[in-house]
Amino acid sequence: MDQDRQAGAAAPQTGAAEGRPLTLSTSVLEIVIGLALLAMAAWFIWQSTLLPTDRNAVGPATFPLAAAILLAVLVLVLLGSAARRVAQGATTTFRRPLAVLGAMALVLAFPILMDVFGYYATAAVWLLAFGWLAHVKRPLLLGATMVGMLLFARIVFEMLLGTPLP
Amino acid sequence: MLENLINAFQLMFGYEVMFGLLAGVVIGYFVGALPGLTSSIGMALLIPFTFGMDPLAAIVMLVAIYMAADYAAGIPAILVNAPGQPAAAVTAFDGYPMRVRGEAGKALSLSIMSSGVGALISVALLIVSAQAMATVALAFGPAEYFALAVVGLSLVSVLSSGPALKALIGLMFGLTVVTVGIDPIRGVDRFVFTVDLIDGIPFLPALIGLFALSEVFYMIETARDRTARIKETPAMSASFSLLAPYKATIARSAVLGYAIGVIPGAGGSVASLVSYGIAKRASKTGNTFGEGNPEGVVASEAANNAAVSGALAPLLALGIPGSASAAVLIGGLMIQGLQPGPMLFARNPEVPYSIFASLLLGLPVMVLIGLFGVRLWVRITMIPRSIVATIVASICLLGAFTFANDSFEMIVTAVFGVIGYLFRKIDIHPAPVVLALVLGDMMESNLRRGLIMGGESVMFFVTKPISAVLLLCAVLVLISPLLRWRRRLPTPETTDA
Repeated sequence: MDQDRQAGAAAPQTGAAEGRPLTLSTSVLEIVIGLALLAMAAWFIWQSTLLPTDRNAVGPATFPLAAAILLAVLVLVLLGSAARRVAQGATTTFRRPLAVLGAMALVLAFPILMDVFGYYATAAVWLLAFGWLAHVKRPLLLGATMVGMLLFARIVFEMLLGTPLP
Repeated sequence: MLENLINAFQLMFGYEVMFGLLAGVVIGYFVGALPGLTSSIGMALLIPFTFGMDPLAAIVMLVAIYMAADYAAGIPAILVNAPGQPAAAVTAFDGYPMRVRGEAGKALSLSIMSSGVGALISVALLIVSAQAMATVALAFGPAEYFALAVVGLSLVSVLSSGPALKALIGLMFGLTVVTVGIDPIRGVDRFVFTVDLIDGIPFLPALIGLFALSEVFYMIETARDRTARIKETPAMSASFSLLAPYKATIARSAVLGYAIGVIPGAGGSVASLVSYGIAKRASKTGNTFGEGNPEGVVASEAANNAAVSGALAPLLALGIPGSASAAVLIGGLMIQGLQPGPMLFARNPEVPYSIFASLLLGLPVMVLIGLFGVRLWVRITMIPRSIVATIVASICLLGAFTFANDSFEMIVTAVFGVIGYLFRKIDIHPAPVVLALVLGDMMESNLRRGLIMGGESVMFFVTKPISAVLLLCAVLVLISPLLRWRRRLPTPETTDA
């Protein structure tokens, strides 16, 4: 925990827009992600029981069922281990958490926006927004990166590779 | 074998193939020299660009990227103590102290030349062993392929970075997810809640997300960190006499690196670490390892570059990737309609032999570009992370789109990018997930075919000698962490004391 605090202190100060470094208990993080994996495994197990059975011993449901059950068992072991380690105080730091969340949102939104507005219009705005989140603060550099990537897409993908972009 | 190799060399001198080789080496240097980007990320990002290329040129370019990126990762390791990828971390142990002492040029020269010689020795081993492995593998049936997949996955879970439990979780996650789509034997839809998933989770977009996009999120975290500036360009020496005192170290490291590279999941990181440890014990000046001993740089670099050819051996001969980068190469081969494995040697011998030829021809190109391009590589290490993150994110999404000209693949890349980032935060590395995505289908389809052939009896897998031995190895590998844990438990006598 002390090392994380020291690391946070040594790193340059983040702005309010980016969020202060977020320090979470590693065990709690493992429990949260573990529960998500457990939910996924449970869904696969349930869906496997709905698959048609086979006259063979190993049918379409067997492999996914076995894999999901093993995943669930391993995740339960992880959850148990994480619960026992909560008191140890190990932490995980997310630096610039808002910037990372914003980047994830942009990446997930890109395909949806592209289907509505087309590639170039979406990419122009997207590159400026993503570059700003990535801490490209000089407007000229941001603009140059945006223009460069659009030209790259046009020349390499559309003209050379013959991949039409929407 | 010799005839195939000569034919392959003739094919190499076509202008498209030579362009692919040169482009691959240069791009590999860019990727390797930039901390945060690895050979697997570089290859995954470049695969969409290979769609319209000549198949041979495309494969040669991808292999050249693999080779050059693994070498170039040593440049930032030596200059700024920030390895370009994990396999170069050991190079920094002695490379960076040499740079601090004012011997950066010597460290870089030793690094590139020992990489070249180590890679040359391992390519020779690859040419001899891959063909032999493929010949043996022609006799393999479903039982042997199932057992190979089980061994491959068990080794990955034990040897990959991070705790074994988390590697196993990554593995089982991959094996669960790979069942989405059409069942390989009966053709039944499984977990297809949208028509886009009828062919399963698209492998390459998932791989781009897991490796490249997850790394972008990490780069955004550290985007405000200042990049270390290098004030002087080191003077390089192209004299092979620098290597003369380390001949035995290079030879030993190359053979070790190749052997370790063959093992799925081991890769350059394990190869360089093991080779460094052995070199330190064998050296007369072992007590100065870690303080700028040139032999440490030589041992690490020769081994981690030799591991590149090692990882290609099981890939080409058996269809089992020896590393995450080799798994990416499978994607590159599949896009060109080629299935790696023993039939590749039988039906398309020009492909594996062209890979051998490209490795041999690419080595002097790689060494020369490394020695004479040092000014450029120094500048590359100083490119701000924020710019790299923006460009890589954009290429990830664009590249994902080109697989099927559909935005669904972009969504897969984005989702797997988020998954890869969160997994890495709790020490689950992407390599076991990717290898499970590669081997999962092979494992299930061969298990079910084997059971059909064996009359639904599992004895079918243990009565065949090769599969029985492989399955036993897999069991031993999987229980080895438990045995080590038991050995560490205190005995009753020690607790009484």
